[in-house]
Amino acid sequence: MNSFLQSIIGGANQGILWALLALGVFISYRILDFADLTTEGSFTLGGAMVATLIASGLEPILSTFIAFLAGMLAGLCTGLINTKLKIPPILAGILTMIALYSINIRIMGGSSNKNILRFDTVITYFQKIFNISKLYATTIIGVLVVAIIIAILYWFFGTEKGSAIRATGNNEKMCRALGINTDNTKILALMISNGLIALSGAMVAQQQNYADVNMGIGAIVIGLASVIIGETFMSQKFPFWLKLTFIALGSVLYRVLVTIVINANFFEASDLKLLTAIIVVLALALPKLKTAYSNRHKKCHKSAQNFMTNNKE
Amino acid sequence: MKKIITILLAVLFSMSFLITNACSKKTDYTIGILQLAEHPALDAANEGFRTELDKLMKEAGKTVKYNNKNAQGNIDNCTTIANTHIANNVDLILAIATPAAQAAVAASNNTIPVLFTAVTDAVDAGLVQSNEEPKYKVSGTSDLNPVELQIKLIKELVPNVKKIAAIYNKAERNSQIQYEMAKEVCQKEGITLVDKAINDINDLQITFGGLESDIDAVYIPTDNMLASSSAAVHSVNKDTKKLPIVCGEIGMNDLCGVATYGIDYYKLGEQTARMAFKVLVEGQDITKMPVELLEEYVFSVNQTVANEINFTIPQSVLDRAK
Repeated sequence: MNSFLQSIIGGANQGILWALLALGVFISYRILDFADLTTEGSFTLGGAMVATLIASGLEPILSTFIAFLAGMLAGLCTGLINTKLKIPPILAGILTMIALYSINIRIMGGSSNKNILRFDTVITYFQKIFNISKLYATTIIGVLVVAIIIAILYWFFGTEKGSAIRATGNNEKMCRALGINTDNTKILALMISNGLIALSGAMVAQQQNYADVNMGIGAIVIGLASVIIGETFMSQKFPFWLKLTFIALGSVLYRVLVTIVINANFFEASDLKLLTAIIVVLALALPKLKTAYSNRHKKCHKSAQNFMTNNKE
Repeated sequence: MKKIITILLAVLFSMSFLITNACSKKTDYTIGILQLAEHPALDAANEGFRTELDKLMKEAGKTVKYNNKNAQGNIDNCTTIANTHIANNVDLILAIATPAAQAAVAASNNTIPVLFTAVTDAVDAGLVQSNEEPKYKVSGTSDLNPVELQIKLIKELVPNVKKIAAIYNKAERNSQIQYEMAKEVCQKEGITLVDKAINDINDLQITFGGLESDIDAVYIPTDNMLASSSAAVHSVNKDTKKLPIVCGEIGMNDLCGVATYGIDYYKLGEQTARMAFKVLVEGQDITKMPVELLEEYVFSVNQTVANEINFTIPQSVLDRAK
């Protein structure tokens, strides 16, 4: 049991770093209502960027920040392709994603895999400062970064620019009628979203000590699953910062579920993908089941009320 | 509530110390296996390792259990599985393929010994300091195929060879390393090696169809993507250029090559098992264990493919395959 708990903690700790990806996906999918497939490319871009910069001797925190900026550039690309060239969102994202595949290999010096196994990273910094294990260092830095990002997002989406983005996602035509330049709000939202996704990739690459051109495979599914799991447990009445927190928790929970599946010895190794799909379907179906249940509940309640009033007469 | 959680955690952590301290003289071992993806070669290495280690442990009167996990080609799962093995306190991790080995080494952080197999260049992947002396608790077997032997074999198959095309996946580091090695050998032999890297298996038809007419042969390294579509390679070759192909490994050669020296991944796994036995039972220092290459290569000729592309295999080559 204790080792099982330990691996769950390990999974949760990985989930914290992927939470940044979930937040990025939440911004594009839910706030902006833009199905952005740049994710798989920008996640790898963050990893490739940070690994290359660290391996070339640059300071890790600065490298991580540059990776974030590179992700913003990828978002800018998708945004421009979509708004200026009028290419539909899905295709715009896919185009940037496949372009990034080649760019990421270029960034890593023509190689598909760049290791930083024996280099200082943001995580080893923390290990050295507090003299703690890698697991704790990753957890602390992950929670810290996620908290800071949530605070910044909470502030930003309260400003005029941020509100304009939210409004664009809700009703684009209305926004244009009100004089908001929806092209600019879309581009800005995509830049923030992909910046966060690249930051996630940069953190993950530093945790696993290498970047690989294939590390973004499945990132979109993971991001969506995290968002959906997070939303399952939140109510629409929540304040915005709490919603963001639940999205981050959704990512942690997703990773924990995957860890449980991996740990379960009665599954074959090849069952993992099937089980992952089942988890996502269940998470997707939960809200539906919840409303069906509460509707039935309401109906019962109503008929009971009717019964009571009828009997009074 | 907070108090209860803290107490629970404290109890659990103290339990973990008790459990780890309760171990004494070892007779049974647990090995965590982390395999990157389902793939015939990787599966063979996995099976060879387990079969050989079972045999060795049985002879020594010890038992061994395996925690066999597969990451389904997802790199994030590699990290999760590696962490799971560490948490389960396995005695040794066997990592199969480069990204799996990198994840295992990062997670183990020099605490639990890691043995890898099916890794082409352990130094390039940052797993070991040098192949002669790893310096960390990491060692294993390399699946570097005999590139030099294979290029020389092309010379034997096509005596006046001038130009060879190398077809491989740009996204696989292992293939790139082999391409660079092949280039070096070709330079020594006075042959031009043309880089025909592809990004996607759908590019195969275009690449093959577009091969210049002065190309005499094709070299395909041990590339995962091309290995899984060797049959497609042969059908495209048969319909277009009918060139003799030399592949990096036997499995591919059976489907699309004319002849090759290759690695038997099952044997590579067996060799890794012998290393595991040395580390676990004989107590050898893994940090000083050199990374091993396969002890003996297999030679194979494929007459069926040769007939289908109207290629005549020289008698000297045929004699060697006997």
